[in-house]
Amino acid sequence: MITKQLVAASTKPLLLSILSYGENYGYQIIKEVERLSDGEIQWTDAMLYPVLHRMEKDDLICSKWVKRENGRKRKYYQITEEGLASLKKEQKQWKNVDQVMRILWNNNEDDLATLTLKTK
Amino acid sequence: MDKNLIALKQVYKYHYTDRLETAAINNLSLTIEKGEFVAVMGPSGSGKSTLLNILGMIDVCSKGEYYFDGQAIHKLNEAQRTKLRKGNVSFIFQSFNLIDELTAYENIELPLLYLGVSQKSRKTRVEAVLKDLEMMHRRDHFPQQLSGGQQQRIAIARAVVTQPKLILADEPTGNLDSKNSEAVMAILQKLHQSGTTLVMVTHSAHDADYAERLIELFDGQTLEHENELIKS
Amino acid sequence: MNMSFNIDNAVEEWRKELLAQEVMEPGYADEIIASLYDRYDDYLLQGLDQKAAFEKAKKAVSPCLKSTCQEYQKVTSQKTIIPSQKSKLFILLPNYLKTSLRHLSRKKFYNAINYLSLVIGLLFTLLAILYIDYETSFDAFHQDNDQKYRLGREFRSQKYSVYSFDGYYSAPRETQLKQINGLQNIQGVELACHFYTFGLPELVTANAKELAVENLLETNTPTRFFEFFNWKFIQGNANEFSRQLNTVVLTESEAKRFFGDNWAQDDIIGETLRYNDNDFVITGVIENIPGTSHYDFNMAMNVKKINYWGSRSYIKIAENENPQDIAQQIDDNMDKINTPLSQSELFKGSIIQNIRDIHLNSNMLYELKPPGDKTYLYIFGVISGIILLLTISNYTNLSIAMNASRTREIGMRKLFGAKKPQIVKQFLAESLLLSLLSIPLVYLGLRLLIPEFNTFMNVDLQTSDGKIWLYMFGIALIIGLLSGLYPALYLGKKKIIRLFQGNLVKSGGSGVTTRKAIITFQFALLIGLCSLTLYVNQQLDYIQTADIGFDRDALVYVNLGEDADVYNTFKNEVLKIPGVTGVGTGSPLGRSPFNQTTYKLGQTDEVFDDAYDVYLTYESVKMLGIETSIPDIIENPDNAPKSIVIINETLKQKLMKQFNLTANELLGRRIIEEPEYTDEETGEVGFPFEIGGFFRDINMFSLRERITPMFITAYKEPENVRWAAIGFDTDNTEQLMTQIKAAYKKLNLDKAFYTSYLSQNIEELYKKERRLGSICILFSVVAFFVAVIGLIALTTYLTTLKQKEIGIRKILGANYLQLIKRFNKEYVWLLIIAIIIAAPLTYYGVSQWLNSFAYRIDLNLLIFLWAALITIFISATAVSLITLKVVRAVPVKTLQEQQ
Repeated sequence: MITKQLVAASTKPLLLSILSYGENYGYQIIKEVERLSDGEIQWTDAMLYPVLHRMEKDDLICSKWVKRENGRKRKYYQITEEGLASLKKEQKQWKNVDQVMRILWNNNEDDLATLTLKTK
Repeated sequence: MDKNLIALKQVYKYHYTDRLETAAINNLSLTIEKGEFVAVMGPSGSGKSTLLNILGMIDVCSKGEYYFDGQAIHKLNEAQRTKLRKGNVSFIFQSFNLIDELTAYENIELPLLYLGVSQKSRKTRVEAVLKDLEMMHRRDHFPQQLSGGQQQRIAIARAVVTQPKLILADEPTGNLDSKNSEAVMAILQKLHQSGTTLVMVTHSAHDADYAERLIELFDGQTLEHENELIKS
Repeated sequence: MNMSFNIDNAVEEWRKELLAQEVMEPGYADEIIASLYDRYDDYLLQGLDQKAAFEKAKKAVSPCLKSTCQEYQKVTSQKTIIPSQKSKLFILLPNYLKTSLRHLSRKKFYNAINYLSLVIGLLFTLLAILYIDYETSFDAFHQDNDQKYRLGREFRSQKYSVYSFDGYYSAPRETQLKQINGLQNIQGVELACHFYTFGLPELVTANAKELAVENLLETNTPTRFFEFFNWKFIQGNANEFSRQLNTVVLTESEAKRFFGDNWAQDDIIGETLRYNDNDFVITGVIENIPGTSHYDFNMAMNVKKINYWGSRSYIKIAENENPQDIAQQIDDNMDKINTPLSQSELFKGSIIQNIRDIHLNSNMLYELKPPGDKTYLYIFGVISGIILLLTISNYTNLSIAMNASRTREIGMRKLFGAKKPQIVKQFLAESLLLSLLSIPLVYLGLRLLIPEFNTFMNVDLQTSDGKIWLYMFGIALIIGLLSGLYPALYLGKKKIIRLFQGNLVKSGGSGVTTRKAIITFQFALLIGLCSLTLYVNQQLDYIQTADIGFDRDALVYVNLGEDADVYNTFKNEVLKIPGVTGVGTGSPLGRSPFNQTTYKLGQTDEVFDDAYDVYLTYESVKMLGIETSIPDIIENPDNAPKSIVIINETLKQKLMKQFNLTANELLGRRIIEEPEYTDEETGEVGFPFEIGGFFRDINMFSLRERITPMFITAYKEPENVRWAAIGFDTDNTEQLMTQIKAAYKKLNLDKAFYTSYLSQNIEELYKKERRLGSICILFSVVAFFVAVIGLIALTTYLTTLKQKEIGIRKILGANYLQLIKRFNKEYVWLLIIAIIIAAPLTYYGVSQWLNSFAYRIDLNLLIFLWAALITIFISATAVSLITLKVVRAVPVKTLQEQQ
């Protein structure tokens, strides 16, 4: 299981990424994340909706109600231009972190040598 | 939390002409729940427009109580009413009342300007409603370059862009042909389905069928139906 | 019991539970429920039964309420948007401008009229302001001008701007300097200097060019002169100028005239310049003297003595000194300044006058430049104010009418939460926009108009002045705000419901009353202006045709300044020229007042000081056609005595009344001129002569001056002739002048030939009045133009609104005339009210002006009727033409348009 802190940090970029593939609704999003993480990331409704609401407030995503054939309604979320821009930024940050970690964990001698040199 | 968005209690509205006092609204009580779609019908002069004006807080009742979302409107002064109305109540008119000097986009944007919404956020919102109403390709057209149906769509877009609690529509299809009327009504129904409270004055029984509830006005009063009486 | 499970009921139950929580909003509940349904469906597929699926889904979606719902509230509260409390002008302004600009371009005709009217109004108001600014800024450019004063003297009952020397013309350098140094030695005086300028052209030679130079300045206090007046040197300096006598400083334009456009490269300092048989060394070039100086000069010469009977004297007093105290001290110390003057009974004291007061607040003899007149500034101000008011009221009227069709827009804006101040701001922004848009055109207009205006008014307004922009933006802002104010307030205060009830103008009410009030106001302004113009021009007409006692077209004067021999030669030559009726000499007529003289009747004691003394040869008296009691003598000067003194009717009546004499008894009585003077050698008192006859009063000066007692000494042989007066009887003055000039050349005088027609001299006296007359006409025309285009636009607009009414009336059989009558009738009443308002005000104003004339027209009240007739004629023509145009339209068509 992933720590609470990491979940908190990754929720927003994950949501943006998922919505960048197209509009989606709450339960589907939860399932999607679960599937992609092989069950490692388990989101709850209580966690998800407040985040969606905050992101909507920040104009990163917007929502609409859609009526289903059976008469029931579902709230769909959609990424906005601003959301896409924000996603780009997030991607860059995560990639940076990812890159550093890769280097450190791969024990690549050359890379480490330059690293130590630079810190001198 | 009160499920009623609107509650009128024994409301009267008098008009004064010379020495004659006529009651446009006569002891009217009604409630409208949040999310309801209500049609108001009645012969002309039955007080439909006056009712709409009072609900929209651009007119005040002479007597009686009006609660909007729990607030006592009849106790507010004009400035307070204006403040409350802003962003919470929108209007859709028979004659569209778009501003000729502004493009479709600018017309929709206008209420957001008066709400002090930031440029970025305005763009997002206006574009969203334009998309929803499939009017994106007409965004830079002036009203006189649009058909009646298109103008009414823009007017509706302008009404919903603030995401109001209440939309008041005064014969929204009155100036439209049947095809455009259908389209406009479909949009209103969609609005309703997404949770907006709608009050629509209409002459058309067909339009009224879209609504969940029908209020029939006659001589400033609601008309009760026999079968409803029997039921209760 | 196994009750069948209904998911929808269960959900509804749960929904109620949820909503029972205080913080739960229906929207969030719905979202949770939507999610519940999704999970429920999923769990069913996984094989759970309905109830279990519901319970599991419910558990999964159940919110920990407090925290999550707060998040939702934040979103929804943002969705319904809390109106921001800060000023939204910044956000809204682009929208206002956009709307305004599009509105402007949409109603092109009306807005073009509004624009035109604004441009004209601004243009003429600005012109007036620049003019008033010019007139009131005289001598303001000198440093410490609050400490700088000019000295004058009161002598007899008149005030002199020339400060006479002890010994007048004959005063040597020492006496002249003693006077100015005496002034400088007064306690509290920091600096004293003097000079004199000679207006008439003199011949000057430099760079092998002989040119006539006007306004030569002579001073013998060179250092102090440049210390006092801060003229700016382009080349050279004041020290060089003061170092030795016979030096000269030129103005830039004079340097150009003599040395060409490249004078600055030609090193002209040190060059000599010849004038009056003397060489002068050029020691400097200064910038041209601005028009706002109270005196003008082209060359300043450092001379040994000023070649005149007096000088212009200036002092700079110490800070905090009271000028009147200084004047008192000068009087007390007059024995050290001008000894004979201090003993003269006729000297009534010194006059001290700040240099900034000279142009507008001075009333002295022999001014350097024609003084300004405050009355004219007032008139100017009033007329341009009228144009400004017309402009503003035009805008107000038209924009109320036009914006009435924008009530829906205002209604919508109010629905969106616009408050009254926001609507007011929007419409103010609109009128501001229009008035600011007019600035480029106004500037262009000024560039075109100012040179014309300068020539016409003989002023020197600058188009490059930074002040112009200041005034332009200032006035544009004021006009914009004032024009927009009423429409903005009018539209801003309307209730929303009223705004959706259709056109405000059509629906009547207060708009109509305001419109009528404004039109009445405009009519009143027009009638006032029109009658003012008529009165002024009537008075001007009177001036030109009034009987002034002599023939104003009789003479032309030629400068001579020579003795009797030269004069006689010239006379004989000129008399040969065909068309010349006679040649004479003596005091020129048609001039500004000069010094009066004291006199008394022989054998009486009372001394009067109100007479003018005029010398004319018999020929001059005859040529001027002055009516005398001695026609035989005048007609035959050969048999006439050497000289004879005749007195005017005014003096005759005065003496007869004073001493109870008949006219016959007066004949032959002695008059003693200047009885205060006693010839030290002969002991004779004054200058006695006998009354030889009488003559009918003549207006020697302008009709502003009352006729006072006057002597004409008619004489045969002149001694020194400054001016030769040539009578002529021909229309071909050009040829005549060539011949006279030829005769003049024959004399071989080292002088510039200079002539002036008597009629021109007289015209010159009324220059100001004539300017006023023309300006009145010009501004009246402009005002009428502004008002009429406003009226046309308004009528067009209103008539367009009434098309339906006109159409119906036409169908019912009304003819054109009836319709036009109907639409004109509305204005007749307004016009009558306007006359009642305008007449008394104009009457008062015009009589104030006319009071400055000793001889003037009677105020004919019929003028007001004329003014009203002109006003109604122009307005009715405009209104009728417009109405006719609309009425002509086919009735059916008009009706269709209104559907």
